[in-house]
Amino acid sequence: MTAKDLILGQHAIVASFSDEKLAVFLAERGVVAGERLCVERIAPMGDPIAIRVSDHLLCLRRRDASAIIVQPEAL
Amino acid sequence: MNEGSRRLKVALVGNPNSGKTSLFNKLTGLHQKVGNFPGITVEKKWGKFKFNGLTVDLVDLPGTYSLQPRSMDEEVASKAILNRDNPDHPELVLIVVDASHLKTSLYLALQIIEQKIPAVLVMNMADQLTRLSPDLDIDSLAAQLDVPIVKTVARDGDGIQELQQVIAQHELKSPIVAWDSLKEERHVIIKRILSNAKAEAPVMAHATTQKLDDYLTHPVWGVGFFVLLLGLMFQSVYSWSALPMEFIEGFFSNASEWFAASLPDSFLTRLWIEGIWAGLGGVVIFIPQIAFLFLFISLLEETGYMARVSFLADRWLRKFGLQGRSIVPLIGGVACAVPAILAARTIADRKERLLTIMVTPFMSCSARLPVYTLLIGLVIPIGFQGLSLLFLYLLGTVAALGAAIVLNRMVPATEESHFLMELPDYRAPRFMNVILEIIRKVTQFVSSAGKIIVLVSVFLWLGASYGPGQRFDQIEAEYAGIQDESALHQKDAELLENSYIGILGKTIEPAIAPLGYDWKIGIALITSFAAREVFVGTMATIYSVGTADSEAVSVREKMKLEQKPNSEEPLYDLPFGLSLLIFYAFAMQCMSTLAVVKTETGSWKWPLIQLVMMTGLAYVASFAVYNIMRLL
Repeated sequence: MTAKDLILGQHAIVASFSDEKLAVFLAERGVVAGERLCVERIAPMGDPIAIRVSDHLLCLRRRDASAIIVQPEAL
Repeated sequence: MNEGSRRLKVALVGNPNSGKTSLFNKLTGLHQKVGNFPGITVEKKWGKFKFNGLTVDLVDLPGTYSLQPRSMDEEVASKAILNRDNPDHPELVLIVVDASHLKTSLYLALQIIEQKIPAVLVMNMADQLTRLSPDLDIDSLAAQLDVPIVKTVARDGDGIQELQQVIAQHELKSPIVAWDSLKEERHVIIKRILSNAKAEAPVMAHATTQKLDDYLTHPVWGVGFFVLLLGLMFQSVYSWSALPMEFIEGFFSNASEWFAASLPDSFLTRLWIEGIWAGLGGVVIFIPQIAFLFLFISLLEETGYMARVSFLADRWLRKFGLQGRSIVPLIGGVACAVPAILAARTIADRKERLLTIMVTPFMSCSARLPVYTLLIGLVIPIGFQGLSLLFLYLLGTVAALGAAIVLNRMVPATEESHFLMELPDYRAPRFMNVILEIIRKVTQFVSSAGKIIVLVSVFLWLGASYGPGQRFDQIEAEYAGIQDESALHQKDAELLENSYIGILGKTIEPAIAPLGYDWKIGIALITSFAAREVFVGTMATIYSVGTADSEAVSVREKMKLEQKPNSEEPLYDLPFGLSLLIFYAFAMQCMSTLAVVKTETGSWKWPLIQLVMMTGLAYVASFAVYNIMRLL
């Protein structure tokens, strides 16, 4: 499952990344394996999404979110 | 070297939204300058302050998340830090971290400390610590990082003196790096450092931000609010700037009357009044609009709202090959494309940035407004005037988005684009930051566009006041001794027709006649090529050059009185007016913009494409409108 598939308000733990370049990009902003994240906002037309992760609210496109492989927590 | 003349080169580095600019403003106050980094147009802010006999030269490097840069902006910061031969390479770095985003901020801090450059960690927004991480052991953190830490609340000015003290007493010793980022990932190191310093790990969301975002990022309320805000913004920009603009106009015309009355009638006096002074007036008149627009834009940026707008708009703008951050240049383009294009440098993706730069000049900038106002007043019936103005702004937006669609098909994408952006917590704007930002933007406008406008104005006056060979002398001789007023008007018209500019205007008349323009408009088009706002000034010059009566008849009144040859009908009628309005809405008539696009894209290719694309569209559209209106 990837961060793209999470529904609004759902929490998940970051497992790994399927895009190496994006992984570095995300690491600089605090998105690394083991971090807990939550989809907090969804823009009109379902894209982009804003996730609460590490210590901030990060906005990213669904396509980029699909590179974040996550372990979802039960709702 | 004695104590009093000690100087130190210091740089501010930090994430975007870390409060770096507030800190810079507090440290330097009004002793700051703005310009560009050499060779590129990334805005460079530098300034100085004195403390205990030490003079600190402070440079504010663009915000970045890492020393591995992705955008032009970030590259500037990383080059200055990594390259010891860089002219901006500091002797001391102030690493600004946001206390409420300690974990993320430390990533960049670690990278800088690893470079072993003497540094101070500025823990900004330190007032948040009592709420978020009350047990944080600052001394432990400072010891682990081996840099002094100063707590500040830059927006309120807290901790600024302590910071100056620490800078002055800094021994410029390189920090000892107690970790190895080759063996261990930085976020693991950060976690350990923070837990040693008893920092709270999970950070709760800001409650007010949450509540506001429930509405402001809402698909319906959020979009509605933005549209409403935009409407309010434009309404205010126009209504608030009307009075100061009137005042500036009055001041300049009163002053030129005074000059004319008190200076001897000579070449230099006329050059000063009709060339330089008139040109200066044409520059200063824009300041109110630019200032009010940037008042709004910097308020939106300062509060953190602009990031929400980008968030809301990204999906929609992506259809046109643009992205969420393009909204800032596009909105800014309504004031002036020059600073707006500079604002596009925060877009990391090459193609999306290029497209944003290419289409932003289609947005109706404030320089088009005086042209619109004059022509609408001339040909559009009262009652439809406001509507026409709104229509022109919509037309510019549609053209911008349409051009983006076309360019999106033509420009190949080099890599997949990403859109990663932080949505910062909302915060109250600080008056000083807003005011300084306005001052910076106005200065940029006056120094870039201003020079060109004054130059064109002088050139125009010379061209209109002199002609080739003996033509002027002949006309003077013909009318010698004649005092009849209508004959004198006749003489002025003849002089203008035979001036250098008149001849040039007549030369291009065949090319513009299909659009419904005569040689006088031809003159205005030629002078507008450098800066479209000189249109009104040019028309004023054309209709007042050498007029004997000082009676201030407005340009519009004078244009209204013009009649078609051998007929009583007005020369400047509706088909003509619409054609010219459309031309000015689309045409690329701004040398400053072309110059900025050249430096931003690194070649003349893109500004040339822009020139051909915009002016070509203007010609075709005006031709179509003029001829369709003629048939009706």
